[in-house]
Amino acid sequence: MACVRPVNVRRSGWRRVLSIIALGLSGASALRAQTDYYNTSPGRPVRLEDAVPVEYRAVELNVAPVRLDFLSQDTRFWSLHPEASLGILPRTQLQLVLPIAYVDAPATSTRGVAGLEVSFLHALNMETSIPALAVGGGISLPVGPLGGEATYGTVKGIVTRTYPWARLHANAQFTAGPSTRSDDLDTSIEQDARDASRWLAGVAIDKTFALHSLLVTAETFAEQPLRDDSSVAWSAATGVRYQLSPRWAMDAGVGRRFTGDDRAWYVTFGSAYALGIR
Amino acid sequence: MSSHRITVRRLTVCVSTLLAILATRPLLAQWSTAYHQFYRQASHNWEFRHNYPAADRLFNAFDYGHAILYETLLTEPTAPPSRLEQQEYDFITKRLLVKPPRLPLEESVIEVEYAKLVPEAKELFEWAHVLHRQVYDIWADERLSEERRDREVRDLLKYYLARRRAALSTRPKDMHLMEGQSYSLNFRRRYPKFNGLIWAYHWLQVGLYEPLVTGKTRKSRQSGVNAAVTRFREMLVDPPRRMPTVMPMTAAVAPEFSRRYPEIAIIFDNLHAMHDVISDILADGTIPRSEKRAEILHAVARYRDDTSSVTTVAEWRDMAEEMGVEQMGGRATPTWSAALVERRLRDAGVDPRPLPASGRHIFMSIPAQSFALPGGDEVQVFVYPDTASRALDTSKLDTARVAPPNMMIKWRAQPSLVIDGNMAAIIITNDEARRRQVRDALSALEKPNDR
Repeated sequence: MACVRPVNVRRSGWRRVLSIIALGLSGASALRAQTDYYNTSPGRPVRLEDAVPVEYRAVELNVAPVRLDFLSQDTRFWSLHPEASLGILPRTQLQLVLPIAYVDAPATSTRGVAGLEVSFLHALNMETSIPALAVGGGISLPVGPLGGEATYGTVKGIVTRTYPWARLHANAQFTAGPSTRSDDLDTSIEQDARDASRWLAGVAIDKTFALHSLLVTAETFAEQPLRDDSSVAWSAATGVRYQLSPRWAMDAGVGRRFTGDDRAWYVTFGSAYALGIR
Repeated sequence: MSSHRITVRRLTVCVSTLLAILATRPLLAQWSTAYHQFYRQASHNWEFRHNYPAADRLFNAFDYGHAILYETLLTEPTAPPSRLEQQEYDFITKRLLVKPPRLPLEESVIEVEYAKLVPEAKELFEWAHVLHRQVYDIWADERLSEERRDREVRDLLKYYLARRRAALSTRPKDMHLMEGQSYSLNFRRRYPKFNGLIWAYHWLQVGLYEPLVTGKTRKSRQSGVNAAVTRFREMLVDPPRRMPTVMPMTAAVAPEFSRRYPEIAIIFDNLHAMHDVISDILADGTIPRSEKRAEILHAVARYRDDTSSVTTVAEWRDMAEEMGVEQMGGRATPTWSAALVERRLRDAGVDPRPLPASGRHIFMSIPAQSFALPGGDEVQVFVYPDTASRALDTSKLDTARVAPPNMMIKWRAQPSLVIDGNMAAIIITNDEARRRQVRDALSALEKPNDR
């Protein structure tokens, strides 16, 4: 995300992105699925997540999770993260993500698939007096016109502690793979719009209003972009998750990257459904 | 000197190892690998919610009641009984049950400390509640035939039992397991009103199956479910006077359901007994908090296994009857009695006159209670202990002639057979208007004022 720059694409492209989102949302009401608003996942609505994978034998479909970054110089960065999470084993999920990015700059724009991510999350335990602990890992493959050329591997650890007044989450992750250099910045940006950083660490807090099926969350995290010479970026965000029906949840968030090279406001919106594996 | 150093070093290593083991043992005891599993994916998912929204919403409110009970008992052990008996009870009955939540609740948000104390027990309950809801779904789905429903329930039970660590036993347990322990009865003695509320919940949770299973049409199922919900709300008036005074048992409250699906009925009774046991453990001030997890896990294991305190299915049914269905809140749907038949006929304007007992028909296993009707007509009523017994007799009859296929019976007027639940009736008349009148009076069990 930090490396996005616009290149030669038609301005009408953003309408297509909106059409895709609208299509996703219209299909939402017809789908028969369930999503637990209490179980946060990356980007829904904030970057950090809890140490709880989707349920065993569940399939969670995030059809239209969209994010819009208000970058400098009137540039807008849209990203759509259609993803499927499968509860393949007890306390273990497999996740597939096919991000689609669209950059809308004053003069030019670009769009396309921005990589293919395959990841897993495994909860080591269920929370008792010991906090909930989870480990995860994944690879980001260079797929699509904005998917870059390198493969990145990521490992992460998550801790969740629940108190009567709130839940606290700590996330840390490290990504292995080639760094990009500042002198070929434009080239790499044109080719790679993936959301990756060398390392990321942060904390989040959420408060649930059980009788209203509503969760409110906030986070702050630091990340080191993949570019060698870039400075650490601090971000803060807040958001809500709301259960619309037993099968359908929605989320929305807003955040700000307030240090680093690409300071920007961003908003997120998503909806998800879950099905069972028969 | 050197050997002394080695000895000291070895001693240090031994002591350190011992300390490490001692330090990790409590940690290991707290390490839980319980997990959530998604409900069985099927076309009938959430049908109960669609077709019976009022009852479905009540179950969402029940989630809160169970959760706040455990959390309060665990985190406020010295609170006065009024904390639950008044404060929470009033909130639940005056607000939550009046306008129940629209969705199932995330209980771990309400019972935060309890969920962390024994996630295994919480998962056990949640898994059984999933079974509860999915059986409702199957019987609420009007697209399914009875055979298909039975098949779906069988598959569902298989799915439930596949999680051995989260599934309750299908073998009935004796009452000693619930009422014969050192901690037993603590909760109900200290919190009679809240205990009555929980038992009223459990009455409705199992009682709803009866009208779903016995209703022959969508309308009769709807009215039966509504009647059960009304009965539940009546229990909360003037508490605890109208509340159950013994634990509702599925075999007594929902006998038809229990006969059809005995294993599931037993699971629910084990679940509800388990609820009471955990309440007792949490309410027992002599069990320190540090020991409650182990005590609960011990109890959970005994309700999960197929060996501890097992009794027979026949004994389980007898126990349910002996405890007294009226003390449990009553049967979920009224059953026929001779008095009810007479009242129905009278209400229909038929004016029945009971006749003295006569000999038993050779093709029926019980004698009839006969009523003379105006104009020389007659209705013979057979009231059985249950539907299964009635079906044993009526299934052998040619219903058009009201006689066994290989037998010729000479009736003094045209006979016709009416069957409903545990009752069979033979209407003997040549007056078709009268026949319709009697048939209508005896057809629908779920009529107002039958209770």
